[in-house]
Amino acid sequence: MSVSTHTRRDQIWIGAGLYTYLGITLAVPLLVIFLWTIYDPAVGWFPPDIVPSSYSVSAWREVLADRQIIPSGVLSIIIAVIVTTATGILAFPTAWALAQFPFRLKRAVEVFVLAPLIVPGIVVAQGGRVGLRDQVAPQAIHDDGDDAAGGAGSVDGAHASVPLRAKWKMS
Amino acid sequence: MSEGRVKLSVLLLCLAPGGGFLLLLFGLPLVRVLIGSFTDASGAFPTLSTWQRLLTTPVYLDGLWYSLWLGLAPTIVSLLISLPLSALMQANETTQKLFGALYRIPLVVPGIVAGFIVLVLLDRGGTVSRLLAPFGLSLPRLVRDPWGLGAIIASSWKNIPFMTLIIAGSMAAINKDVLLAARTLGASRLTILWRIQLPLAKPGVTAAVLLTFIGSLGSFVIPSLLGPSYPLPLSVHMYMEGFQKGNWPMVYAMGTLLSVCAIGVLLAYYAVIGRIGRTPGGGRQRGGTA
Repeated sequence: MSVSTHTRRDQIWIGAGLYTYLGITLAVPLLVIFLWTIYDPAVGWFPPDIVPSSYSVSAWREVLADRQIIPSGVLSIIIAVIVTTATGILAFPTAWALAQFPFRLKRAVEVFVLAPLIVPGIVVAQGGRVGLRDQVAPQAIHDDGDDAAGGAGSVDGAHASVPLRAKWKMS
Repeated sequence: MSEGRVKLSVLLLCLAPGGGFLLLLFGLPLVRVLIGSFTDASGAFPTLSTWQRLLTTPVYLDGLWYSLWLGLAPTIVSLLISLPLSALMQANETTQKLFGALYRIPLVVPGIVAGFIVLVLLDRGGTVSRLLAPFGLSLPRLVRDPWGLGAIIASSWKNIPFMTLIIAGSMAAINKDVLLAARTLGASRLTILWRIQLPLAKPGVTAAVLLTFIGSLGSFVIPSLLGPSYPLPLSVHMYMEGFQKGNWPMVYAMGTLLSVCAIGVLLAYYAVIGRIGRTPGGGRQRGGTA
């Protein structure tokens, strides 16, 4: 065991605390969300029931019966991979140049490169509307406004292929 | 060709793809937004009338304050949770790997799902109020409440892992010998945290704070799902002005205003980082590249 600033007993307590935190903030919410996917809509799930009184896979069946879902999901993953690769290809030479060469205006280039992080996503999405048809732009806002996960996040908008095409154009 | 010239060509060649892409798809749209904010609904240019309306209409001004509130509050909540979380993660080695993988899950959960989680857990009749009901307890109003508490909780839920990722990364980069030396010299754990870990991790902390604030400032899905019907943040106003009223100059002016706020925060950030560089004990590191 490597040297630590904390004793073994303290570490057990800290571990227990960390996992309790994870249980409350992550496991419970995800479990409740999952229960909402398998409650029986014909019976409902009303207070004071803490868990549904009746279960059904109808929602899942409906989702999986939708022929759009799997192609949309695959398309989302393809887009995410392309976006990641393209970002890498574009970013690597820039990062290398910034690390390698001292030059005037270096700070300005740095700030410009970081600017998309600084300017709120919704503003960029508005600007990106130029050249986009109006009806596809709203989804672009949804995706860019709140989605830390970037390309992969478009899985949630995968029901319709139009938003995905918008994502494609935006990217 | 001289060596300097070769270097310059290599430099330009390296900067061209990334810089060109940004210029075309980020810089130009941004200029378009800026110019668009000086037009009005009739297409007149240049005019200050859109700006005048934005800055004198109480509904929009309330929207601006509300946006700033929805940017600031989740940042503070996330920081208060992320800091101890990051420090505890450093302390615990046995469970670090699994925990380190699991706590990041909210990062990949889309904002709308985070909103839905808060809705089913904390809304009236939600899971938590059902759990509390037998004890005669009830939750305060958390969804569509005037302070936007539900939106703040959902936003924090998504931002805590992001902040923890950056802060824990900065803390992990601190040489452990320094911490062990301090411990040997009799420093308590709190002293180590306060006097060594926090100052050395400060560039990471400020970068995390900045990025969280800006991310929440422009967030759209969470406040529209969980926030009250009044006031609305500027991001929601932008959507309504644009797609429901077709008032694009106002959208551009609001976008510019949000960007100005974000840039203001960035400048403050650089001022803070600059000061850190001059104080002893705060290593001269560049933040913001996270």
